[in-house]
Amino acid sequence: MKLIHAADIHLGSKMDSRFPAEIAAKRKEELRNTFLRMADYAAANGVAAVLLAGDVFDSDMPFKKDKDFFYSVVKNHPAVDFLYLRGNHDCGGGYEGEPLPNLKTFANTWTFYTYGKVVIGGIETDGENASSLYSTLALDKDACNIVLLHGQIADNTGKDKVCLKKLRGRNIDYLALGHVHKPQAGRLDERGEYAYCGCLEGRGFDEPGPHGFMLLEIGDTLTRTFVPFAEREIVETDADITGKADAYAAGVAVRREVAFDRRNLYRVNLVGEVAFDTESMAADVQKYLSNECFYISVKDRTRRALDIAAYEKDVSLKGEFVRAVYAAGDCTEEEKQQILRCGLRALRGEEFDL
Amino acid sequence: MKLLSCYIENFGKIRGESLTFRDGLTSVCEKNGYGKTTLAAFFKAMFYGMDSSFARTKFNDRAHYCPFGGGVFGGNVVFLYRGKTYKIERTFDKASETKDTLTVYRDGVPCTELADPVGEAIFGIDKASFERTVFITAGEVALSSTDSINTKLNNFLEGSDDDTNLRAATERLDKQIKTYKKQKLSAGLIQDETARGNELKERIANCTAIRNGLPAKYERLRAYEREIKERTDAVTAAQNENVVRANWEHYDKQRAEIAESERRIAAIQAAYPFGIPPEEETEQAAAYAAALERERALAQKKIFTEEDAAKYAALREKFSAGVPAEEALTDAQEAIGRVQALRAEAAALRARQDTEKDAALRHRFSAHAPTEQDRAKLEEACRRYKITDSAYEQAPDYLTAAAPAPAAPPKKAALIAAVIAAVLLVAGVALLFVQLIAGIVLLALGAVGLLADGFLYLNKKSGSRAQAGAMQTENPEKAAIRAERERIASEIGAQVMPYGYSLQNGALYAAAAFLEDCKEYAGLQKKDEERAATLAQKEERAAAMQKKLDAFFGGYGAYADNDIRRLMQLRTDISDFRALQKRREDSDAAERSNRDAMERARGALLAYCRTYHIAEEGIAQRLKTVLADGRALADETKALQKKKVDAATFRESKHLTDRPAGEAADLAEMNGMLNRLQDEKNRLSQQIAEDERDAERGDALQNELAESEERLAEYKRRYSVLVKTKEFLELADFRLKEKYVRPIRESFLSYSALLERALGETIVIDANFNVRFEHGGIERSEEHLSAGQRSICALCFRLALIDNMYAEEKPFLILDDPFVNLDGEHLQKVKALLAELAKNMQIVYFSCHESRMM
Repeated sequence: MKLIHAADIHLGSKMDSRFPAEIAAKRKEELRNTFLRMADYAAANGVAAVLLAGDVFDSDMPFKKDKDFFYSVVKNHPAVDFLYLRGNHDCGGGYEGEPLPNLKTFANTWTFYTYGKVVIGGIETDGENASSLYSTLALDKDACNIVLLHGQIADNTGKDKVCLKKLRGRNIDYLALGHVHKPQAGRLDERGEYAYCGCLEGRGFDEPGPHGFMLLEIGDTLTRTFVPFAEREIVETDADITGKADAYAAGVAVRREVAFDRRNLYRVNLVGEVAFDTESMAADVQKYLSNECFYISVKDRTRRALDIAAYEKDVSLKGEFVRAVYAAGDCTEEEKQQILRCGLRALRGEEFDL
Repeated sequence: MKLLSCYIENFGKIRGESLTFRDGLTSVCEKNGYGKTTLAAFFKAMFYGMDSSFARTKFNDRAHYCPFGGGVFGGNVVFLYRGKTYKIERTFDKASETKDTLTVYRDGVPCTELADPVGEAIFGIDKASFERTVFITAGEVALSSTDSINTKLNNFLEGSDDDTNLRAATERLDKQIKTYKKQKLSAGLIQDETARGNELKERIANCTAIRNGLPAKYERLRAYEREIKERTDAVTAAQNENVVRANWEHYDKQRAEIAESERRIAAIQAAYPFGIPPEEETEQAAAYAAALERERALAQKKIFTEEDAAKYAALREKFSAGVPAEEALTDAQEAIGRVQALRAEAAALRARQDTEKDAALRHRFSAHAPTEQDRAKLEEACRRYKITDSAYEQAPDYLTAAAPAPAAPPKKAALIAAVIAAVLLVAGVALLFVQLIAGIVLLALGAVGLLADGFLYLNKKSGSRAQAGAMQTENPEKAAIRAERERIASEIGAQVMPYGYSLQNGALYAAAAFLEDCKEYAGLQKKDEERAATLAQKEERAAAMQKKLDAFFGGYGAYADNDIRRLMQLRTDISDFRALQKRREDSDAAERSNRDAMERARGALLAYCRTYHIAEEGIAQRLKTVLADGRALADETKALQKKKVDAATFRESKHLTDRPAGEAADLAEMNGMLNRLQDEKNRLSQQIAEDERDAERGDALQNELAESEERLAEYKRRYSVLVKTKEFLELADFRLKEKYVRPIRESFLSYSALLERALGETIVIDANFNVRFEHGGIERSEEHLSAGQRSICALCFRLALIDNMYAEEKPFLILDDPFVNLDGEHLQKVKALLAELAKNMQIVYFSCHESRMM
């Protein structure tokens, strides 16, 4: 038997504010499409059920069109069951339309669905059951037990928390979690494991890396495989441009260091040390590399090399200025670099770009 | 630190030059162009090295002082530093400092304690500062009393003369700062971005409000959907009930139709108290009735009419002796043909026309045909003429010849051919009435034959005529002969000329022609006789045959005007007779058959009518009615059965058990209400969609706000950096002043105190390095000082700088003729000053004039 464990779809979510408007709009569309593709995948590969461990929507009051989309997908894949556990972001995502036989929901008490020897249970946590849910969970040790929960792993109980130690020894073979957007897994106890499947698509540069769902294959044993399924991957990486004097050279250096994939989104941090009065190259490097991928954002994190020793014996206003800035205790290193660059250019009569 | 000596291998135009220096003041008097400036640059290069010279760099010292003549570019300098003697040996590459060599000796031993740049290690200042302090030339001593201390100090220290100083820098910073924040006008990028952020927040608040209003709309939408569902169910129920009602109506209609069918069946059956005859029998009876009618109609129609009978009687009369056999008819036909042929031949013979020649002959000789004697006489005359003529010919001059008589044409063959052609013609004519094509063929053959025969005959005859010709000569004997001949010719002429012949062509010719014609005429006459005989024979035969034909035809009363018609008529009569005979036989048979059929039909009909008690009168129509009724009854019965089954099936299929009570629901009103609800729901859905779109814009606005806040933070950061930069620059300026200006000022004042004796004035310098002097208790501007006095002030300033900029080791001082503007008195005073200074400082003084030597 095959199952899909997915979570944190966040339909209707707004994308990272650092994406340009058209990129954000496209990503929003791709997010919906990936969910649809997952449903198609489930239908095409004989998956019995898709376990949705919370945050299908992004809001307690999701838009009607997002809800209509979700339920339309469910309705149009009648051969696949969708077990929908609401999370902290989609309390208001309940379904009020005509009954869908393949949509199974959960409540704030334990609800179970049986598929042969596989029992899938879940509970939607709130303030009133956050602590008691552990004691009310009773599972048959002879069944293959899968539990859905949405929350952050913690050592204590509480709303939107999952206390692992209280779930140990309860005959759980697989704890399907949602809430954390990065896929991760671990041992629960001798019998079972837990896993966060992560979100289906990264929504910003704070969600880099591969995204997808967990495919569970249940035979004599339960095996879990992470299936990367996102339309695009978000990659954040550093590129050392030490010694590069202009944006073109910096762009070449970035190209050498980063293996671009045209489908993906990149955040490239320019690091290393460049000449002190080098203009910020981030904007130009971003332009040069814009065709290498779907979207790129370049940030200048370089250090400006200033040989303070050269100014120690500089008997001039410039030298005095440099020494005064370096000795300042109320400025950060970056601020000092900028003040020095600005001041020295001003003294030289040059334009200074901050 | 003290210079001890230096050796210049090759540096600029100085080559292989050694100089020794002593403590205190060293004066060097060299003419212009010696290289004093070069020497100064040499010292700088020794202590600090030289920058590389590249194609794009300015014309720097390396390029400037590279010796044209080649050789080792460099030298050494020996100096005393911290009690030890050091020697710096340097060679320079003409372009790159990486190829320069440097060796520092301490007390003659190479050492590494003084790292390059050696000058910085010794003096604690960089090359530029060194250059600007150690060397004083005539052009660098001017002080401008209007420069601020920063300009003075910074320009001096920076080595620049342009306006790249603190004031300019702070002005630029202020300009940049104002772009971010204008203090008085509340404008600038920060202000603008803040306003933009506020505007975005307002718009976001609006979007949020719209979003917050959505749940209520969702609830209303759900309420609409519930109500619509309820009403839809009600409509469906009403529709279903209406369907049931309609079904009952349909069932009632079916029942009514069943009753109507039963009524119709009863009506039909009522018309036949003894039962309606079966269709098959009725059809059969109808067939008999139709047959009876047909037979009656046929009986009315006579195959063998009265006219036929009369005609048949007449023909039977005609052929009472028997119908002639076909052989007889054929014989008659042949006879007719033969008669016609004979007649045609006779006609042809009779119609034969003379040719022109024959006509001419007849014309000539019809009146009096030449006798045999006439011809013999003429022949004799011709013989004598010939003899005469021959004699005449034989006479010396003239000859006479006579043409041989032509041969007679074969007349008999032509005649036979003509007869055969005529026979063919006649036969063709006769056959035309019997066999058209054969008749035409024979006619054609006959005509062709006749034409060919005539052509050939005429052709041979014309060819048989010979042309006679004669020639005469005249001689006396000939004349007699000629006369004799002429007499004979006259004789001949007398015979022939009455017949129209002329002697134009000669007597012999005429005689020959005459004789020929006579023969022809004789032949013509013979022909006439033969023709007459043949004609008579043919006519006789034709008459005999005709007689036979008349007898034959007469026996059958055939009296047409010609035999062919009679034969045709006879054949027609025979054919008619036989046809009439056949028709009569057929007519008799038909009548018999007709009677039988009528009897049968009548009998069958009678039986049918008796069986079913149906009146015989108008039976045909009655039978149609019976048939129609029978079929109608069968159809109705069948239809009734089907209707009953259909009705039962319908009722069962539609489950018509209980008839709905009450009135039918007003579906139109219900649907109207439903449509109104649907419209309202659709409007609400549209509103929700619009609201969601607007609310979704809030996400984009949130992003814009985040970007705006980032920009604002960035602007604030930049503003902070700019402000701090300005502050640090001012701080640096203050510290610089604190560090250098005060001590420099104090040093300057101490030096200027010395100068009071030299200048005779009390010199003061304020915090901004504005030089003033006191005169008469009043401070005056340094502009009142002479050039020489100002140059001395500049010297004091430099000395003050040296005092403060060189922490430990004071450098030497190189004065490159700086006092060119001093008069002799002041120069003396400067000498005294320098002598004083030289007690504590090594001074190398260059001048190009002995008057200014120290």
